[in-house]
Amino acid sequence: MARTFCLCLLACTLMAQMTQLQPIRRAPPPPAAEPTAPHGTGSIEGTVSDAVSQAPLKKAQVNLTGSNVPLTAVTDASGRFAFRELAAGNYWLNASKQGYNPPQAVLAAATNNNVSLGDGEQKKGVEIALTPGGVIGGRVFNEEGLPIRGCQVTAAQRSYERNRRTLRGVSGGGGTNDKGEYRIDNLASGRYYVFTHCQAELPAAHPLLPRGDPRTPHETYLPQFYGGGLDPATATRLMVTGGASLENIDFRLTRVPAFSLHGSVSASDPEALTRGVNVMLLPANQLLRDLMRFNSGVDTGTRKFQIRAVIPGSYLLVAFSWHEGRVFAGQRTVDIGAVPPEPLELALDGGAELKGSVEFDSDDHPSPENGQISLVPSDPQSPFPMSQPHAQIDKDGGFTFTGVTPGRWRLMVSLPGFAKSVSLAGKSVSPDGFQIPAGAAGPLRVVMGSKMADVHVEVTGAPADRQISALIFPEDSSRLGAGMERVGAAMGSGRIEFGSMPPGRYRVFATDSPNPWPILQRADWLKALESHTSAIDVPEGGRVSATVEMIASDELKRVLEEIE
Amino acid sequence: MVSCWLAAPGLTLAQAPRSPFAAVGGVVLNDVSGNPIRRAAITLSTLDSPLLESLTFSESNGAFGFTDIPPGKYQLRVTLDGFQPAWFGASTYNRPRGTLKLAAGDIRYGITFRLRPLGSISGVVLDPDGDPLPNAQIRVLKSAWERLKPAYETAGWAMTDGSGHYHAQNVVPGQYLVMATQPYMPALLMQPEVAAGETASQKMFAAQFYADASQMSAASPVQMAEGQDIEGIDFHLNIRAAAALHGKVTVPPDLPANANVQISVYPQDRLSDGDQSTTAFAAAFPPNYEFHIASLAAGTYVIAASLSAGGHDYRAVERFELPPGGLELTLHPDRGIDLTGRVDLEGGQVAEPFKVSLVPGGYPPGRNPIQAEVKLDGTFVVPNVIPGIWDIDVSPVPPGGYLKAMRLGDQDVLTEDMTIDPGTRDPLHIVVSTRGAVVAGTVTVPPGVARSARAVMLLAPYGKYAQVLSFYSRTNADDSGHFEIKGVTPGRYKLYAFEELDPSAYEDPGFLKPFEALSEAFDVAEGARIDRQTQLVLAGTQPAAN
Repeated sequence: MARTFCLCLLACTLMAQMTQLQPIRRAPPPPAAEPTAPHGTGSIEGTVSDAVSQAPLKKAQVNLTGSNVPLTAVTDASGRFAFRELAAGNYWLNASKQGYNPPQAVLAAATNNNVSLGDGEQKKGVEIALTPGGVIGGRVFNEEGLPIRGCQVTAAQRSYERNRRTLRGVSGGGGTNDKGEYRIDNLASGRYYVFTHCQAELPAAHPLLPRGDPRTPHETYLPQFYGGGLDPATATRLMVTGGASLENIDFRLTRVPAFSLHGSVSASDPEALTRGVNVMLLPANQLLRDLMRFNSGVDTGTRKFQIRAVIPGSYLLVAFSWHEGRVFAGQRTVDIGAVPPEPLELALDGGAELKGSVEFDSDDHPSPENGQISLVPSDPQSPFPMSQPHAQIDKDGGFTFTGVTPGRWRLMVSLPGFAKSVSLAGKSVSPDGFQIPAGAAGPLRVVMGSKMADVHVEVTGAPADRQISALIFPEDSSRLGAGMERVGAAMGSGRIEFGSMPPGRYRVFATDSPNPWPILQRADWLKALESHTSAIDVPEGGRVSATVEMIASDELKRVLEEIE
Repeated sequence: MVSCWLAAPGLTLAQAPRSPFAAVGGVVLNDVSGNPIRRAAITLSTLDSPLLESLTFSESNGAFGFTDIPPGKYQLRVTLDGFQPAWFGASTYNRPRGTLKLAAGDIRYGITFRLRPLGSISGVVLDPDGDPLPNAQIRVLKSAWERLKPAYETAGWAMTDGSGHYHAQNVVPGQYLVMATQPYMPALLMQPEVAAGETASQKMFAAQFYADASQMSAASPVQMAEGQDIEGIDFHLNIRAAAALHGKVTVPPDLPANANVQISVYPQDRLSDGDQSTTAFAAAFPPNYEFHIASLAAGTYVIAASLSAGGHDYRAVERFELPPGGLELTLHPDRGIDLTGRVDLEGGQVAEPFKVSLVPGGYPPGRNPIQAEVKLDGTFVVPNVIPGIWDIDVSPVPPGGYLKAMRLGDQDVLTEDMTIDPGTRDPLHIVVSTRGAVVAGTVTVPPGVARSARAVMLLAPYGKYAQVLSFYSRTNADDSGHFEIKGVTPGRYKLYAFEELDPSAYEDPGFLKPFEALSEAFDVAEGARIDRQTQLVLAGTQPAAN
């Protein structure tokens, strides 16, 4: 039958809407045959509670793993759970509930509980406390006091990456609802900036113009930190504590002129454009890069892109694509002022080839063959986190990187030993960060030190029933993030060993906090903890020891909160 | 150039010099409360080309205005989030829009737009423990017709928040069914006691219609008035068992290793309700091309398996009954055919090459339209036509022309559905004629009624082809009631002039029945010009059925 236009249009848009609603799911593997669980007469009973309010937690999921197939109980209104008919053995109990144990929590209570059950033993009173996350909620309004929907609201924490202060958006909801409401839940305790960005392109009043005329003016809402402005220096930081809700964190946004940024991409290598090209516009202010970004696709036919609702300011325009393992990228700075920007051209480059070699400082070393060597962007805010040239090392120690773009890089080598010295085109550079110019003239020569050191740490002052972690990290904070920091654990006071350490000056401390790893990612926290840490010089191929007193979890928390 | 001159003080019309331009203005009000509306967007657009637009916003007293408008014909449109859009001269979307004819020096003010606020439906969704259920899906359903069959369309949609509340907004007045589901998440219910070896069967939430109905037939409709915020449409979801579907797809032997098969499980038809009304997706991956969907409810479904490989499209569609204990299914996709054919033009010269488009029709969805260029000798090949019903679109039909014939082999596919199956070999023959008929005339307003003769004209095939939707034509009569419908297919018709007409109303095969006595049937011959006087059917009129 001939196509009836309005009918199909309706049906098609409807179906399009419907399909958007449905998550695409990967088929799970078919269920395996039922394993036979060893039965017994033992039992484990207990309760799950809120670590702050001590209230019992209803509908917490409790997983029991161990000698049986995993069992899952869901607590009742009194927080109670019970696993019965258990055989004797060693079990792990793990509890979870939505809104509890935020993933970024540094000093959260442990969620894994080890239970050792004797034959026929009835273990009762197992207490599991879950750390509640904090909540920030509020509404976003326009100048008329009307709610704005679809705004992204992000809670951001100060973060340090490679000695550089950044803001890391740790949580955002799916955007404000039709009442302008947002709610960010399960936040770890700490101080947060709150930022909102509504990438709405609003019509603006204008005289008669051809429809679609590029001169047609638009407005958008000015993004804002809670407390005002686009600068974290003038913004308010909110203290979030577990289990507490900060409500009425409201925004009132003003309308400002907005522009569309038009442009096209090009590439000397046609492979760069065979797949889709992504374009991103990032604020020049690196602190805002996690909070406000504009994305666009590129039309595969015309190679054109358009980024809407951009406010005046300085930006970095970035484009990238992949093809058969190669990354093509291009970037340029863009200043958007008071008039519509001219269309831009952005060239994608596949990067240059860089040859090099790996040798060892002594004859006593394994063959370098099949070792991997890679370059990692050393600028933490690199807009190309995906472009990491890597190469396989041949039996003579040679390697060839392809697709090396200009920038600051650090070297990672997956061979036993450490990068002792590195030179690029005959000039000595630091393996922790060196500049590669356009064209990437080599060779890149790497000398590996094969003599690693052993460090043992004696922890004192720790209760015998607590799990203690010792943390060791390079004193020079510019060397953080290169795999030199480690965490080791033991029960109670005693010795924690760190083997195969590259030489250098380190600092070390110990704590009974259950999740101390995130501390190693914060140069500012490590600095603040300096008086609680011991310095240790680790010689090449040597064996050294240090004695440290445990820092109690509460004390650690106090110090960290102070600097926050 | 744009200014809100109604708000500008000191302008008296007598003193204003005769301007070469025109000006219009008015006020935007809330139709329900009568209060002025601020920041409604008013667009003035030219009716003739070039298409020009000017935009302004209403002030806090609702006033708006455009000045310095070159003489010409214009339309005015008002939009604002939370309200139905309004056009000058048309108080509802279902009425023909008016035209502003502006001459030099014209000042037309006092135009009042009464925006109709959209409504909302809100409530809370609770699980069987009485706890609020986050991320439940709410669908606001409106009955509709599709391809002459009853169906439901989604008129609103919402998700529950962390406290189980939802708010489905921007709902136009009408009667709705409201359904709550949480189709993809296993139900988390209190179960504090678990014994080793106990196999927990996966439980899902059962879909529910308001109020507490598990089937659509038992649902209570929700009646929404203009701008009404209906609260307390609450749900208490029950639990059902999950029935697993496990399947396998037999794929063509030369399939590349990176090709996977998209699996869609659809409701059995457009009227399916409750737990069988959501669509589930999966994929079958190499090397075994097996798939598994664990969370379905027992019931009847239609499954489609689609893949593309080596430049060919394949698809299998099968109806199946999923028993509570689960089902294993093997699907054998068929390769799409190359549909050959020709287009002939009667009574004219081809100005530009024809394009033939096939648009997926019927059920289930999940195919894409296909287009083919017609060669200079009139032949075409539409590649990769996978089995199913396809609607045919030919463009450009010359002005005043019509689709005279479409035949797939011996079958008339102009008035009947074209169903392609893997064995289809017949060519598709299309005849386009330049000699469409014209039905023109005027609308008369019933005596004693002070209404504009502006109307929505509906030319409806009568008799044998009453169910051929492509033979229906809809156009607007202007302010003086004049209308002209071109490119009419020859046949027997009735003509109606509605003051107000929902654009999709005639898809309901029973819609015109009560109005049939108002119009005499007439025959239209090829190339004829027929003049008809037709009386306006006032909005809200429901004449008794014959």
